[in-house]
Amino acid sequence: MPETTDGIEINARWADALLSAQILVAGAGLIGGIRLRAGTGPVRDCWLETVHALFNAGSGCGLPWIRVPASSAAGRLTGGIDIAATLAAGRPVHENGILARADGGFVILGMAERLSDTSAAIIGRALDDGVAVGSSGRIQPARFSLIALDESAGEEEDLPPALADRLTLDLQLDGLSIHEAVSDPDLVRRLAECLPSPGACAAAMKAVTVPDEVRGAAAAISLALPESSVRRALDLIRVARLLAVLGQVTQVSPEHLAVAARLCLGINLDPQSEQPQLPEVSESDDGEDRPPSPPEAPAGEEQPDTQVSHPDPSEEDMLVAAAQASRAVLAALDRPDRSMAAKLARTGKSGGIKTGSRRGRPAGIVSRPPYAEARPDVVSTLRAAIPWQRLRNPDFALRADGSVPPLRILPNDFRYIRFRHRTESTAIFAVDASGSTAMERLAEAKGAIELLLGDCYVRRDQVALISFRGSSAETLLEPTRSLVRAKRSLTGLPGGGPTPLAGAIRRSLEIAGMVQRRGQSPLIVYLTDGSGNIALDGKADRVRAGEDAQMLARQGAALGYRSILIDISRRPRESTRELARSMQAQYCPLPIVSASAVNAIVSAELSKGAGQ
Amino acid sequence: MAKPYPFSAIVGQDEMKDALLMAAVEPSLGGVLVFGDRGTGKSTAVRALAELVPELAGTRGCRYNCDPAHPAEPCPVCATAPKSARIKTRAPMVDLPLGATEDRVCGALDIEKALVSGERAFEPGLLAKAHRGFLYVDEVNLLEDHLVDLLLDVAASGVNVVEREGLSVRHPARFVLVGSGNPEEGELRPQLLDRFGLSVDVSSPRDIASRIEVLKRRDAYEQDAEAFHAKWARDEQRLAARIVAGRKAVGSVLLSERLMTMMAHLCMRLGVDGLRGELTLMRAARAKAALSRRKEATLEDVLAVAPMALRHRLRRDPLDEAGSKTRVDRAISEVAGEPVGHA
Repeated sequence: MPETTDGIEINARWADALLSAQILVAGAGLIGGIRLRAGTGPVRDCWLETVHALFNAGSGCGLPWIRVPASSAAGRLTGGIDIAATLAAGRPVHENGILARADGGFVILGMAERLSDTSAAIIGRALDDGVAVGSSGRIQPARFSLIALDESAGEEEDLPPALADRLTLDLQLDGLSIHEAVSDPDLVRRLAECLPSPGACAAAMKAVTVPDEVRGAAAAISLALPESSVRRALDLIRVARLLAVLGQVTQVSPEHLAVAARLCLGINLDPQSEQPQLPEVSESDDGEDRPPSPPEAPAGEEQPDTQVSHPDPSEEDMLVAAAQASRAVLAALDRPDRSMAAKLARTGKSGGIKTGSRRGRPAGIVSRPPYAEARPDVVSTLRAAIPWQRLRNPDFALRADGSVPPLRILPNDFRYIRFRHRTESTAIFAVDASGSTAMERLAEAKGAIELLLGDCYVRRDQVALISFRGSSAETLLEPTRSLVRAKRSLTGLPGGGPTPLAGAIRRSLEIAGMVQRRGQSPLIVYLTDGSGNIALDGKADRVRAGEDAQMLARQGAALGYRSILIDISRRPRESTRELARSMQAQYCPLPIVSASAVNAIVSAELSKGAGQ
Repeated sequence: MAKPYPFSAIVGQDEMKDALLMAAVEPSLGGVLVFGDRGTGKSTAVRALAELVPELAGTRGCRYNCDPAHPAEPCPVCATAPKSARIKTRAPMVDLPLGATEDRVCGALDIEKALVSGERAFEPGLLAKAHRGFLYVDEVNLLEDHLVDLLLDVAASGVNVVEREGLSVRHPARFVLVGSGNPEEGELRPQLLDRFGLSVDVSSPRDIASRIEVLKRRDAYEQDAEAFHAKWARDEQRLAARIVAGRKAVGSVLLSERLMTMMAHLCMRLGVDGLRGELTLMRAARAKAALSRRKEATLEDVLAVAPMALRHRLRRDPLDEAGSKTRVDRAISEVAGEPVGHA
């Protein structure tokens, strides 16, 4: 690893970035690819140019280096019939997809966090199998490495998991300044010299042996990761092997594994730097508190012992290091864990407008198919083609008998209708009708629902109503848009009795599940004072009732339903706020309930979901 | 493509392997759904399975994968083919790619013939290609709903009917449908879930020893696939022989009245709607016994297959934090304790 070039100091992070570039180029076609976390900018460009130059310096001259936007349709990735050429030739002409064209080279996927799950699955399959299957069933070799440019900014954006799991290296360039990112032809030349000759890399990797304790450590590290995919361990071994090849040794050493962990997982397990670091990270004690951690540390020490016939001290050291490593992994990964609800909301963004939809309201005419297999719209296609007819056919004119000569329509005349379609929202009201909520507040809640229903009719949203009192919660109103039915069931809403809050939450979750299965997006609105005193089994036990409610609230959060908790008690209490936090609900204390205030809160939330 | 990783070399995941073998032995089970974490060898297992299944008799040039004894009606080759055109072929393992169109799946108008000679001919699709073999859908939960409907429909009836663009074709398409997916990316609709015969959940191995074993074997396979295959050839042959024997025997496996009653009790206890659960349970128990070369299904067979035959048919209960497997297990221990224990 060159430390300086022309007297310029290369800092550790950029050195790692350059090492990643070397691994990527040496392992082209052998490892899946790299996840490059960086915004657009000179640093990222500099790194990409370095990789490209390295690739060209070695085997890659003239091999594909294809940049792909994440919005590429699945059909473009796998290929299909080339319409223009087919029409010209009079026989089907197949066009290679992007993946097949990239065979032997690199695919650079821009804005990878915007990639659709379908495209991600297609790319993932190609990475696994090394072949691309076209829509017409042709199988073509597609051995490429992927550089996924991950520009995700917030917690709610992420690479599709099908893709993220298959990317071997993980490089973070944000925070590097342009002065640190140095690269020049001379440096590239020196980096390229370390690479094995093209084609020889696979053979060289075969020659490298991997000691059992390194495998054990890799397995321990992968087990400690939150998603704990076996692929991570395989990746670590692969990269460690490549590092050994680059270092021209024939055995993978623990140091190689440590470097591999840094390049693949972004965690520092360096044996030297670990001593000062470890106390620092375990200060929070989070690493040890996690349930998976304690059982695996002993497992890491025991298992290889039984497998390997004669353990020697260095191996023991390695295993201790592995166990520590797994703890360090946990600590390093203990970022503010993204909430389950937010994570799920990414997939279940059904409240929002769906463009690229196949049905709904026409929202303009586009020259690109809004989804694969879209059929051209005849009228707008003709309209687009007609102005060109005289150009395409100089004789074009109405004939004497009034007939029209045939139109010449070219593929670029095709126009498609784009649809926008907003999935319906369903507001599920769980209204506390117990004695603790006084009657007048119940009346206001009823009023709010009626107001909302009026709005919902316009917005094509639906409303469901659950009331809870006595020993159980009952569904007064299945999801409906009918104002009449709703009013009738509301007038019959009696009050008084204890508060089966847990039962109400359970009932709401059931309805929300039903709503979601229908393709609508649920919004649960709890109107309660939060003091449940009936447990799920119907017994009056305040402590159990509270525990049950908390458990169900967490379940609701895990299922990812949007919810609002409107606290209608005179004095809002901390326990109610706590409950709202458990269900990751929006918490609105409303000591003086008024129908219009409730309506405002819910309407805002509904339109927020729709406006995304 | 290189020869896939051998089936018998897959570490652990016994439930998944059992389910796939049973489906290979008893195609009428109605397919297998494998749901679970990434990188647990779902695709590997399915692809490896095709290598184990015995070869089929076929006809050269046939695009419908017809059985020479019963050629498909629309097949132009098999109707006239001489005996000399008979060949042995591998049981097809067809991958349904996610981007596939309905045309590609069912078959459609042959564009080439239509353009060149103006002839209206039918071009068979993936369903015809998968006849007598396996159809594998990775990420089945991401597939368009209408395609999943279509697949399950054809898988259940064994016939593909195409009525479009002036074509009217029906051809046999009997295949074992294998779907896999990751539940975090979206669930399958319950109606569709119910139509898979068996369902297994897989997860990454949680103990370090089996992880190391996975690493070792995978590493060995990647470094030298041929040597690895040679090493596992005997196990593969043994397994293939079990499948052949199982296929022969599965029709004659006995199932006692007592066990049937127990299955019915089990389904009732779990509140499984319809008879599909019981039928699958029965077939799966037979297949399991046939695989173990037994003439009669035993209580152990039923208990082993019950979770995978029933777990996806349970009603969702948002309250029950225990997984569906635990619920099935609980019901089994309740039911198996009473009627069978006494008799």
